[in-house]
Amino acid sequence: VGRQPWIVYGLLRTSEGLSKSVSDASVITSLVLFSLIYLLLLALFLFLLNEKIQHGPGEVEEITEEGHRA
Amino acid sequence: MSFTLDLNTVWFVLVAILFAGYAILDGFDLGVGALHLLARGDRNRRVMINSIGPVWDGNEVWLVTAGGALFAAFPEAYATAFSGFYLAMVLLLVGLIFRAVAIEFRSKRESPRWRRSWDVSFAASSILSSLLIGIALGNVVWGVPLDAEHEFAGTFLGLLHPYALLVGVTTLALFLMHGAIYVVLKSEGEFQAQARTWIRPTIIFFLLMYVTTTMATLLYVPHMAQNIRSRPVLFALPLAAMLAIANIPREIHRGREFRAFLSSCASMLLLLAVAALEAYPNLITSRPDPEHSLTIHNAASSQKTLMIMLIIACIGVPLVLAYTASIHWIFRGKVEISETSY
Repeated sequence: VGRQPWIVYGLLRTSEGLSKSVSDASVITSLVLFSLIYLLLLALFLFLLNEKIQHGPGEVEEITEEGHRA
Repeated sequence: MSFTLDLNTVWFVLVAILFAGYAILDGFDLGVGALHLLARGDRNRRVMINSIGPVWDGNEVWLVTAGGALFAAFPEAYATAFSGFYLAMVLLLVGLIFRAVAIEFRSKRESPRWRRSWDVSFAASSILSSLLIGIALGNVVWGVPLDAEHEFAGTFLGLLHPYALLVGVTTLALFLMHGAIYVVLKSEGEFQAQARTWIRPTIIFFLLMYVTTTMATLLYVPHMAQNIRSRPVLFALPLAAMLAIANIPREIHRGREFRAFLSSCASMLLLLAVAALEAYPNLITSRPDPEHSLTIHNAASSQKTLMIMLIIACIGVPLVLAYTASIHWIFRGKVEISETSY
């Protein structure tokens, strides 16, 4: 549906849908910034996940409590 | 200017209500975040985070809904705002991301350094987000440079002018007050007594900022007084806002925090109603060329789209109100910290 060069197939070209007031520099800055943030968050997530796995599951009571989590 | 009850006006009111709902709901949890570092000790900080724990993400959905409604009803205004404020939006997203992650990650490890880092991240990103939301409002009130094709013709630094910064700080002050009252409602014992001491300074801070912003608006943003000047009966609205604000310290003085909180909610609703009323029929005012402004007519979708969406909104808005009310009801009362809390 969104195949190049169409952003709306057969109706609107990508080049026509471009924001005129957003510069290339802004786009690349935000893309790099968000990629770095997501990589950082992925690393933190894997770190926490690994810690949880190393720690192993808790007692049975704890698991039932997990089930009640809001 | 004349008020006609057409579909465009109905949608203007709906979008304004969604933004007001966002300000009231996310306002208190951003305020709690901004106050976070004032809470001392790990347990008290967990009380802070868990006071907003079950509701903060639902509150933020109101911003998504408001943005979505703006996109559907007034696509040109949406396009101009989101493209023109691109870097500001990126900053706001970074703030909201780190806030959310701080809430989720903070208590996952025992390490004091880990927890302290996320505490700082939570507070800093809450302050940044509050300021940016206020700066955005300040720019909409002040007007932004638009060209003949309604494209944003300014720069990011141009958005940080003194009036916008003033509204930014006023918004932060309002959220701090709103959040401080909320923490008192949700906490108990010694910590509640400590949180109670935050209310007075935040009220004074907000009152000073509110008076300054009102004066600055009347002096330097004359187009923001036109509608009420031409219809004096509408003066009832800013008057009601002033009374609601004056009622906050009154209720606090009498020890009725819940009423003070309701008053604070009403103040936010009324202040935004005044701003919306004065902006009407403009969505984004152009400055210095007012003829390039985006209005509820030149920025709107077709009448058919507005009509279909109104039917959807009539079903959707009551549902959203119902789940928002029920989640706050379910989690009413004081915060309890358990194994599974944040």
